[in-house]
Amino acid sequence: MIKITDLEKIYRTEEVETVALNKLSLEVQEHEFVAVMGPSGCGKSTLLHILGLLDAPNSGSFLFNGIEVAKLNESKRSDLRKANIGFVFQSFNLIDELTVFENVELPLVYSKVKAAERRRRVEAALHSVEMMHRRSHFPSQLSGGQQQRVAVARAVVNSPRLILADEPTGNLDSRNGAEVMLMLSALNEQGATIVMVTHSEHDARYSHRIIHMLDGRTVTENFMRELLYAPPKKEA
Amino acid sequence: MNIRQSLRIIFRSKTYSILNIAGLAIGIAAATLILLWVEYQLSYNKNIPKHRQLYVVAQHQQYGDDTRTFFVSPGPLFETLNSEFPDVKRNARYADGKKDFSRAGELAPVSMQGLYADSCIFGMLDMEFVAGAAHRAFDPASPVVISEKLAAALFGRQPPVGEVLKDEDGATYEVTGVFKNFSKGNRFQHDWMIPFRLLEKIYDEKGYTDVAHWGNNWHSTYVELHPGADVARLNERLAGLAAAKTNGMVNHKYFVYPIDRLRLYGEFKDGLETGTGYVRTVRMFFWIGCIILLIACINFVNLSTARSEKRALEVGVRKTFGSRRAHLVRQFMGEAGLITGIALLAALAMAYGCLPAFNRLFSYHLSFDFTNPYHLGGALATGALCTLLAGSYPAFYLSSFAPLTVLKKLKKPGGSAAWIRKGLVVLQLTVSFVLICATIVVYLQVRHAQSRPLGFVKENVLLFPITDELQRHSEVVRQRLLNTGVVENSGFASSNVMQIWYNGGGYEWQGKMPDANPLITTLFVTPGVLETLGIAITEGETFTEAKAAAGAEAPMKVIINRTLANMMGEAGHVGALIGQGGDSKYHSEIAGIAADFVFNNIYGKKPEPLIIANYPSYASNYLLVKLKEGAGATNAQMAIKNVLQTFSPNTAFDAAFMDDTFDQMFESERFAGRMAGMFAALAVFISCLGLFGLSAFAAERRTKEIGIRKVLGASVADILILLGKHFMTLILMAVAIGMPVAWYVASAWLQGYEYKVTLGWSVFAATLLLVALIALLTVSVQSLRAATANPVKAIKTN
Repeated sequence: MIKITDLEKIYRTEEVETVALNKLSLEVQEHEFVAVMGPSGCGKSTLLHILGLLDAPNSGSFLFNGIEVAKLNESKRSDLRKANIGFVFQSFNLIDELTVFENVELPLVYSKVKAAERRRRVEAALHSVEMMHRRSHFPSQLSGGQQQRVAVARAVVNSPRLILADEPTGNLDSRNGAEVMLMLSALNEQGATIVMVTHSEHDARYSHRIIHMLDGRTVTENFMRELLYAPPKKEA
Repeated sequence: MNIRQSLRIIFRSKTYSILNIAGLAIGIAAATLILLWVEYQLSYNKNIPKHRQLYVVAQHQQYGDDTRTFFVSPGPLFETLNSEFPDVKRNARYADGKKDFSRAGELAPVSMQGLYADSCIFGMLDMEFVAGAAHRAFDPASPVVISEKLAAALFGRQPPVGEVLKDEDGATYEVTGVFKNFSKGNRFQHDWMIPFRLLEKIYDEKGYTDVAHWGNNWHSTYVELHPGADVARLNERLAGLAAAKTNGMVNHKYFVYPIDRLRLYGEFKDGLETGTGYVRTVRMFFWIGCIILLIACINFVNLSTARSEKRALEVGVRKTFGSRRAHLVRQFMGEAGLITGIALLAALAMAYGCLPAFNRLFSYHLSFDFTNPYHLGGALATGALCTLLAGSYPAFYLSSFAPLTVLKKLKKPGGSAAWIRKGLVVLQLTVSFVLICATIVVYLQVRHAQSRPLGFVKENVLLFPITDELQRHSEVVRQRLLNTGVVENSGFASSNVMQIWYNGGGYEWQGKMPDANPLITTLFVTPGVLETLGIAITEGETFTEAKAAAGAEAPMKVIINRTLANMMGEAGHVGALIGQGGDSKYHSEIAGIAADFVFNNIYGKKPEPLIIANYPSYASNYLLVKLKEGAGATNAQMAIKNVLQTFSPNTAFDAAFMDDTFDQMFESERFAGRMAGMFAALAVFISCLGLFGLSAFAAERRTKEIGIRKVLGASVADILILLGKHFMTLILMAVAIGMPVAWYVASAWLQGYEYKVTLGWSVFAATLLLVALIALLTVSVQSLRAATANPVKAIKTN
């Protein structure tokens, strides 16, 4: 699904040049759940933003479903993004002025899905994260865990082929964090490809594969499920 | 755009929305009032159905190098226009007047303005008669047609047609018709009309003037032209008419001037429209209206971009989930449209509510009519314009945020917008500074002219209208008034002395340069007037006895002013002769020379030449009475009225104090000053709403910084200075820009006046203090709140 080769991303200011991605190459298969780990500043978030078509690399190749997207303009990236990619952020990034329902509905609005269909899909997504009863609430009326569940519903409502999660449990306690991870696992089992950036070894164990990054490069890869670990069960 | 979501966004940001809506609403309401006033002025006289065909006769008169323009006509023009000018459909002579009408032997008289006019004016003005027939209304010997208003005042519900009215001179008139009251917004606000032929008869019988002479302009004329008439060709023919009819003796160049333009453009200099007539004031207020709208829109822009940090995340998320920039622009423009829409409704309600007070304050009859397509269209266009002005920049700015930048919080949005915001705040403050300066300058100029040495004493002098009966017994009246014990002096005059409308050229004196032909004003008086007003006689003597009317063999005694004496050179002395050409050349003898006093042009620096003639039969318009010191005004008026009513019992004799009448001469400046002051205050208030919002956002954004500074030992004063410093810089920048602009604007305005105030630094210093004080007080409210907040809480919450 994703194949990147020799990807390079450099941030320049007047005084400093920071190499965020340094000739990085990797592949992610369809239906795979990949965790990206590494110390702060290693380039994992930059990688996620490029994978999410929010940013463009300086050089290298990025094939998304066999299409070269590294040089696409913002408009085309936006079209590809809204059709194929869902996002879960550490800080939830829900819009305070929109209700739970409206926040989840947002990707469908921009994909020009008809109102009746939107309603059906939003309700299904909210049911799946057990937030249907909070559909008319505003984000400020929800706990952190509930907000992240809404964010997950928003990420999947458009049935994206790829879900990108940027430290999805970073702002949650362990119980809520575990719930979110189980949701992501379930989504993956239902067919979604997931790339997750995390600092948490515990969360990373939910993935099929962990990519360790340092100074803009991958250093090691661990194939978790096959070799080491079965994901923890949902706590009672 | 999702209206529900946009409304929610508006209502959830209460402070921001209230400031925005209040600023816009006040701005739009103020602009609405101004635009209604501008519309009233621009459409003045245009509600007369035939206004496009209606003209007034004017003429250029040449006095040496000086071309003067007057809206007057000579008697013979009426027939000539009818018979020799096919472009002229009809014309009507007219003269304004005021009469005290009463029903024979009943009730107190009712005093109202009216018109002596030829009957064709009914058709020219499309007057509608509710009683009587217009085409026969002036058939009887002494008819009068009256307005519904005057009919109601005199007759209540009784039918007036056929009834007889008596005027202040005892003349009787048969009411032959009642016409519908004139609509407001035109110069025809008359309540009675009497055939012009009756006025002509009075002038002829009393010998006021030779009514049939081309050189005597003693009335005015309205002309109705056929549609499509060639006005330029007509004016070309009219220009040579007087010379052709008088073999070159009278060279006045007539022309017709549209009544549409009369109010705004009817001011001439050197034979041309000055372009600086009333239209200048109208233009000025139109721009003030636009500026106030702009200030309100600037508030919107500033408040929207100031809270960009709050909206940035939303933009980032929306873009991440597929929103295009155009979609966001539409959303933000939609929000701007909604806010403007709410503000527009509030503004219209405000303007509607304030209109009666505005009308009372400025004596207008403006109205807002929702069924008037111009009003409705204007309101919608204003809303659309405000949406575009206020919404465009924030919409394009906010929608420009790159999602990644926002989501990664790489930098705080608002860098470039902050500069634009500062620029716009400076612009707002500059405009406020200029408007306040302008208001102060108008106030100073009016005060300067009001307190100028006039050359006569206007305090404690009463002006009474006079009747034929009073005039016939002027000496007796004067004596009886002096006998009341409350009167120090009195006399009759042809005008109120401050405005003297009788003037002419063609004067001769010994040694006059042949080509010199100054326009000389004449004031007709009876003895006592100069003493009543304390006008100083510097040479010779004042009038001591009434001189016989025209026709007496001895030369008429006149007093000339110093300007005329100087103009006459060696002949300008007591005992010299002066006259207006013709057979009786030099028929007047200079009995005295009076010190110059101010008349007609209150802002003129150079007095006009003046002859004061002791000529009782022409001194027929005002009785001037100087009250004794300490005489109570009410009792004195009562005593005087009693004396006057023994001569003319049917006259109300409503007096006016001369200083009040003098003050009315400043009405247009005072009006401009009041309007400018009111709207300057509104502009400042709207700017302050914006400043208040900005200071709130600035304080909010720096809450953590303030907390840390306080923990490290900063005092409340330190924090106030920290937050105020930024705004103080903006204020100083505004003053630096505003000062030359204000100076230029004030100087340009003052250029229209000869006698004018000198612009000093104190004006700018006072404005600077005022603007700085108001602005700093505004920002201090929020700064003080931030400075006194608990620093621990500030640090924790951030």
